[in-house]
Amino acid sequence: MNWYEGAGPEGDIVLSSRVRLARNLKEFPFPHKLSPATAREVADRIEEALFSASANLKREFASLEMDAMEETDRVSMVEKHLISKEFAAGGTGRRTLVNRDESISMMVNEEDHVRIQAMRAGFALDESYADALRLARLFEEKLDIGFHPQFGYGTACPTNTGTGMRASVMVHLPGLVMTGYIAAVVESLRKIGFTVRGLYGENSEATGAIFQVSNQITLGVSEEETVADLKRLVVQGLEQERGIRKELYRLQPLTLEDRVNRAYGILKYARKISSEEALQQLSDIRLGVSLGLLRNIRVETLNRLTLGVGPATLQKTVGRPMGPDERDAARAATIRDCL
Amino acid sequence: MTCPSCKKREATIHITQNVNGKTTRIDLCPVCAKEQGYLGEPDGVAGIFAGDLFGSGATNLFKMAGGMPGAASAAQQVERCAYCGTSFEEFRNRGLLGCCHCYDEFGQRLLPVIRRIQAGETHVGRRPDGAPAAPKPEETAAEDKKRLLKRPVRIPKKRPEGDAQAADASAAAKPPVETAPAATAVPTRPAATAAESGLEALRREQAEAVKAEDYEKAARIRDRIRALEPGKEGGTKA
Repeated sequence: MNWYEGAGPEGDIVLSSRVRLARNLKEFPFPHKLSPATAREVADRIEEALFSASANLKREFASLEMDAMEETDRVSMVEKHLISKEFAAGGTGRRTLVNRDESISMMVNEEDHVRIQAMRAGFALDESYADALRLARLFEEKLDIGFHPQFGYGTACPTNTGTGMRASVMVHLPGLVMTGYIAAVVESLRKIGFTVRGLYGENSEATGAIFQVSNQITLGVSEEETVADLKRLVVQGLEQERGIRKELYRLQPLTLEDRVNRAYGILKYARKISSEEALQQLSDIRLGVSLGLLRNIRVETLNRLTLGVGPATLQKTVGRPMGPDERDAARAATIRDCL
Repeated sequence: MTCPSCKKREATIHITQNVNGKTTRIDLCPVCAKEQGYLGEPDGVAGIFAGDLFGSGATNLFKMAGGMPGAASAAQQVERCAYCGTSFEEFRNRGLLGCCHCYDEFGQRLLPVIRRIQAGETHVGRRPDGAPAAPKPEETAAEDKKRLLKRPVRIPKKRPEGDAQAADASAAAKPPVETAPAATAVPTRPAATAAESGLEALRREQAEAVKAEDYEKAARIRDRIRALEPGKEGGTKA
């Protein structure tokens, strides 16, 4: 079972928690400055450091050479948040080290030599941080990692220097979206050094009321403080979102029940559906499940569908390339089966 | 070019010497430059800059296109990283440094950039050697952001916009969420308020710094105020 097929704490609102740590080898230029041969050498050293650490790790992690993979497989990894869109384009020396349940993925030779990413279902930032830190320590023991006494961990872009850490949560906030309060919340978060983006990273729309909230500041704030700050913000956000939902339901029970059940009806009976519409309807269903209006659907199912209805992941599941119409039909069928 | 002295490393130090009107150019790698006494410890470099090292008969126009890590702070204008060859210009255009040594090489030249995008100037988190985290500087921007952070994110009273159904639902939801736990954090003041009180404190600090003639500090605070002010850098409104 993959990590996203489970549901963690506060799972009806917090889909996942993620911590990313960037590390670079001191004696090599950053990836954008590497020749193909040196890029391969960097990748080999990182892979070797991981695989030589223990037999367990060697069993647990697969090493995927991006240039050797089919495009569908690479795009599917983007849809599952294992790698960035930019990284999926491939290039010599670009590898992903990923564990079996896909909860840890390490991009080698993206913007930095290695970006360790740990993901957990639900609200579990401390655990994600611990997972990522364990691997960062391993690399620090085995490799000469760039570190500056004033500026912290060396990273290609100074926006990451210091801790090299990006902690983020993926949250479902339909109440804040429906009432229009979301704009002010996003603005307030921006002012205190946190960014809010849509489901698929930079510049992506918040389809299905799903947002990624992450820290922007990496210098002058410790890792623990960053995690604690984000946790505090999530707790506040959860309270507000739950409060608004309750109030919306108290004031307009029929409107809300209608909306949720319509979404269920569409997904249960549609014969073709786009990924965008699927995410919208899944959002309403998630709201219904959270409010106890739909009782026979599990949050785990919704998590699996939310990450599973992307075009590439769908084609992988079906096992062959498909045109848009065929995909929409396959998507509708997959969702029908799950509900 | 390759260093003519060792014929191995890249020559990134270029020295123009003017002795009694005769100009000579010397190109060396940082290692040979140091061995031959052109690059000393930071103090030595500062001495060269002070112009009193060669006496009155000679002026030394010391132009460094790279430098030793320790020399970076004294030699303010390092143009090129001696290790990876990345120029400061390149960094400014692309936004990416070339290697971990660039942080040493460009040193304090990076500070204006870092101040714009970060909360502090000094790392306070983990270190690879597991040494205890550095003590936090007393008055850093991070602290200010922290103070803001401890306040709840406020939801403004503003009437929402959106599709008819949403507007309908929210119109009925006024006053919002009286029974919810979030109620204490909800409305009356706009979202910018938390940032504003932080701004007031910063402005006071700025005035004090100017009074104390600590212009460097004042400028730092000014940059922080700019970053926080609504209307600047795509803030809410002017």
